[in-house]
Amino acid sequence: MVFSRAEGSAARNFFYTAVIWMAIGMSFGLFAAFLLMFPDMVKAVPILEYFTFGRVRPIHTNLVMFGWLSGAYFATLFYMIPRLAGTKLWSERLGNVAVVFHNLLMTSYTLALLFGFNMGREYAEQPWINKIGTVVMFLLVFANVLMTLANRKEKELYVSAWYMLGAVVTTPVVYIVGNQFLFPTNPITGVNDAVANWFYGHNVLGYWFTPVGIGAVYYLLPKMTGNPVWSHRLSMIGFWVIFFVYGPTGAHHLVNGPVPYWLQTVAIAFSVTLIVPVWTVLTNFYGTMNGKWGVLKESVPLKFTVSAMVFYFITCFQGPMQALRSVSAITHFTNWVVGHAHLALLGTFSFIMFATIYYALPRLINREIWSTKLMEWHFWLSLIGFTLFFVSLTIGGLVQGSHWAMNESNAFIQSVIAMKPYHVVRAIGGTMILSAQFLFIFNIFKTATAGKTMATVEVSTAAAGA
Amino acid sequence: MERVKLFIQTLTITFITLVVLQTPAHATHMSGGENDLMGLYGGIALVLGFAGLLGMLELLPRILRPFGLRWGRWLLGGGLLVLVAGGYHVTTIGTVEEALGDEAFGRLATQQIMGTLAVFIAFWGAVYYLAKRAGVLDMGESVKYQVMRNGDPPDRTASRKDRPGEQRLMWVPFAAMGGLALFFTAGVLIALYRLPPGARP
Repeated sequence: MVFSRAEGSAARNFFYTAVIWMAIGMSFGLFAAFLLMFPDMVKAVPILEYFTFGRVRPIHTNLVMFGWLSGAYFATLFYMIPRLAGTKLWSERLGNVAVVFHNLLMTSYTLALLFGFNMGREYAEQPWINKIGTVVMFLLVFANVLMTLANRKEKELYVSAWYMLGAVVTTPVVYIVGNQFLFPTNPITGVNDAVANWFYGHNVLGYWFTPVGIGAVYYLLPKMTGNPVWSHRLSMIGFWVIFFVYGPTGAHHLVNGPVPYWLQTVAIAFSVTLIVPVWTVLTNFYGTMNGKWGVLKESVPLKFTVSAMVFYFITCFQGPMQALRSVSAITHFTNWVVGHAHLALLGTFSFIMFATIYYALPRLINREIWSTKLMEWHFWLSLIGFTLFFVSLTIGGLVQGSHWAMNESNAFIQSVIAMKPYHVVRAIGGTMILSAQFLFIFNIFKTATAGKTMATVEVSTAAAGA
Repeated sequence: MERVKLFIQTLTITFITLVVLQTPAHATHMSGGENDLMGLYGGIALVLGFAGLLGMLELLPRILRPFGLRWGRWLLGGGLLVLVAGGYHVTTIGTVEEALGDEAFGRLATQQIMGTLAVFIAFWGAVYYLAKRAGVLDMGESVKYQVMRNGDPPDRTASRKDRPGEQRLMWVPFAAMGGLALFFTAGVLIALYRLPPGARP
């Protein structure tokens, strides 16, 4: 059963376990948010010594990035790539081996950080053995995807497949190079280490989370609206631009730092250029939605997708803006950046994955989503909670940065005191987001166990030019 | 194909021009970086350039299509002009402390130009070469219909017809994007201008 060969089982199992890791990862995040309000909370109870902010925060980021989003992305690849290629997944059994391996690896991720094994590099905190495990995990999944594409029946590849193929080819390179070529000790040190760290830290977003997420949107929009994507040519321009522009942007995390000035300039120029692929996606989004905006009233997955497009635009508006030297001088190291990171990973890509799960899971298990009302609650609680969350972090970040820029001796502690109300609002927003996810998981559980059998949906493809 | 070629060539020239016209350090700048006025010129250039590109690719709404075909390349050219002229303007106001010909300026400029050019040429050369070899620049639109009939039935919402007035819902995300963009921009400007003069860029 565990290593099933049943069609769609690997995608289904990845979806199931990904949402569990999401709940665990986000719970750690909420706990970290409460620690910012009550930093002495962990002192009172002995067992909580393992739950200091320095341990809890990387567990949150690692589990959300690799447990939840990557798990859901693997499922998305296993669901969409065979359908785009016109064939079955190359090996369901290998896919299910990957599911088991992924879950063992995420357990190891959590325990390692909980017991204080931390390499001290952002988003690359895992000890050496877990990094090797991560590469093995990528290879297990990506080999299956590449073999499926190699056996495809469709000659030309749709834009989603291009984006996903791009992610599959580039992600292992980004991970291995950015994690110091997987050496057990960190042989690259100092400023060079910072450059390597941010080559990975930012490009894991650009070459893994962005392309698979955008590829999923290009798949979902036509399915939900009945309109084919507005311009395939434009989407391909966006694809090629993003893949060749994203690479050097990582150094914008080091603007005003001791890295070469030209490298900072390259990062800023390329960051601004990222507006082009974003524009192609949004133009196609509006073009594809044309004449079908009414669907928004009835489809929760489409609500998540449209919200994700808004957050995608704003993430990519904010990104180039904060890469500029004068803006970075105010926002760098502040809560603004934390808000920005959440806009990308939660507001954009997690929302896209919610839409994907609501669309794909019923088709995988042949059951309707158990409760539409719970889906609505999931959407509105997530949206309102997240808006509170990132708005408080953004304003808080600007207040924090302003205090620091004053460069007065008491400005730092004033900045800490000034953060209190923003931390409270952030925790309220975080509580709403996590509550929404528990409703989501309950709905998924009920769908799997008590959902009605799906009626076959017949939609004429004549209008689509088929 | 010719249009795509022209687009890639124009984009390459645009970026190289942008890089060549990088300005040196500005003495009064809080961060020690260049004048961010270039960001404004770059933004205008991007808007003009993208509108021009859509026009040239015949991707504007039907009513604007003849306009796009007629004026697309001029918009693209206008974007380039704003970029070049803006770069020149920013350079002239940014070279007060380190004039052209100074050793420091030379070092700074050489490093930036050489480093950035190397990266740009490598990246854009690769993108053009690979895209051309893969044949994707010659792909038509037929492939987009493939996803509609791939055995994965569209959602039941796909067959829903819009009711009168529902198209207006398109303004909701548009307003959200505009509102949030204004919120971020205003926030940064307020933060910058509330600083005492000594700490201000």
